[in-house]
Amino acid sequence: MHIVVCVKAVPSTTEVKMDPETHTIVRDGRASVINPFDATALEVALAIKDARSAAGERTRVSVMSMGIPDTERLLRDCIARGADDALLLSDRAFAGADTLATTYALSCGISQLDEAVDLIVCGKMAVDGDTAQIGPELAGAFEMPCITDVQEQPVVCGRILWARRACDGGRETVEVDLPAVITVAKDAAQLRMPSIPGVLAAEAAPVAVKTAADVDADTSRTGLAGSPTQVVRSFVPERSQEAVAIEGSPAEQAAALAALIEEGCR
Amino acid sequence: MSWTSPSSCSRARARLSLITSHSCIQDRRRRSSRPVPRHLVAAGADEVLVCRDARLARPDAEVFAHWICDLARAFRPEVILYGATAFGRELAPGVAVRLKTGLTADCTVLAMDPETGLLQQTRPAFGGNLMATIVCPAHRPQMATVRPGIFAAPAADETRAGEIRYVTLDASVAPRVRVVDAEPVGAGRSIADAERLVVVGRGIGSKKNLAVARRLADALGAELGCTRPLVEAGWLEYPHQVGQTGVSVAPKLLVSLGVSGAIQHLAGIGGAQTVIAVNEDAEAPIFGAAHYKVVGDCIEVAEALIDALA
Repeated sequence: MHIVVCVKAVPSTTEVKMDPETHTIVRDGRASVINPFDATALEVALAIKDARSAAGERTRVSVMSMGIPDTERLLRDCIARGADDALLLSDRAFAGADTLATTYALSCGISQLDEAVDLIVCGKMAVDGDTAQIGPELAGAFEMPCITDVQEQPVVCGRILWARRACDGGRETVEVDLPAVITVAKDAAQLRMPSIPGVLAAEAAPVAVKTAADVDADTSRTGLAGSPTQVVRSFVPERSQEAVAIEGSPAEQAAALAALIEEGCR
Repeated sequence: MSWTSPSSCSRARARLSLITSHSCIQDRRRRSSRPVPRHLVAAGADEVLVCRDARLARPDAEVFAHWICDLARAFRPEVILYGATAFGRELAPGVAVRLKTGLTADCTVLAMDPETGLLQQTRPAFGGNLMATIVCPAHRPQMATVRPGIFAAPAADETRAGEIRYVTLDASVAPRVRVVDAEPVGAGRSIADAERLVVVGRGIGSKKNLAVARRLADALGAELGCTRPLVEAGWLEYPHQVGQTGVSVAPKLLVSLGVSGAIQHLAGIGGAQTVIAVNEDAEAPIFGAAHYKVVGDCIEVAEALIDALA
């Protein structure tokens, strides 16, 4: 069985600072981390590998990312935690990609792997973009069924996967034949720590770094050029005013609030 | 089902088509059922495309994506909007990738540029710290998922005329995800589309104080939400969790009790129109997202407010 985990390098979210002058993200010296949802995706894949390996099935977990060359460091960390190999798609031609162009690049990378893919695991969303689109778009690109927002470790038996996922009406348990795509919620699992043999293996492990040409990607469909959407403006949302302080004793505060609520909070 | 939504973006001469697979809609406020196509015409649709097919009986994103792709190829709309519900956000990317067009997630502001005719799609990123306005100049349809509750539904006009057309789903499309077991969340309303919401955080102190928050919610006609630590502590179920890893809410009124305001929580309340926050700590980040700030014991204030509302 061959599982591919797609990961994204994101700025450490709690440290995100906006420059009020330029309205851009201040990235000075802030280390990027694996998107926390993708860390869960990796653990979900590794746990499936553990279970299938115990059942005597050879199982391989490949990690893939599209990003700047520095992302190789994060992929090596994924290997230290148990992934078998990693592929980094890194090329100026990939820069500025929206979700469609990212999906295209990732699908080119997946198509070029030396072994057919049985399961693609993605985080539910990235904490920087919040789009939650890559998983379902990859599923569409490969015409695979997709299960989004998986809440717990899924179970794979033979060619069937069972998962419990959140949906609009609550939760449901679903089954699907592989190959398939799943996206996982952050609480579905906790990524294991690197093992000492894992760290040693990761130092020596080959992280394949490939360009658009290496994966036969049509550069009119990658990066900024291949992105149908364009960001025309970004801005820090302005607060119209500071919060109005309601003073007094609890009873006075409550009376003021009740009056506000009764007037429709205008 | 709200994955298509009438919105303020239709231009005067634009044709607004809504598509549905449902024959009846539950009107929660009036607690009644009405035929969907008539309801959608009254709400502003010029045309309603209805497909009655057993394969559309449950929300299977892959089946719906094939259906909508076929409709898009046949009707060539300029814009397709989806509700940014869990289903809408799974469905729309499947349509985008098959039509090879752009998709903007979870928009909170939509406007039509009168000169270019482009849909200007504005959405929060980085947990609401940054807003981005996005356009899709050269690909059609222009597509966006729209955060539920952001736009007020237009007042129903029962005298409006609109066309109702019946469409089909290609015979080759078959669902591949099989539902083994469904666990619906009670019969209560979801906090995602509540008009009023009381949200509690660790600052309420103890589990027994949840009863106070519930009484306040009842007095306000509000639903009850909470922060993630309360779900982790088992005080409330996950569907009550407000924030980045829970539900994004957009109530008209949000009363926040003992919530400190972690960025992941604030990311989920950006759609609230009026936020009243009560917290003992005058420096709590929740006040940065609040319109009214009450520094004090949230349980005392809540109890006093219950009395004041009575």
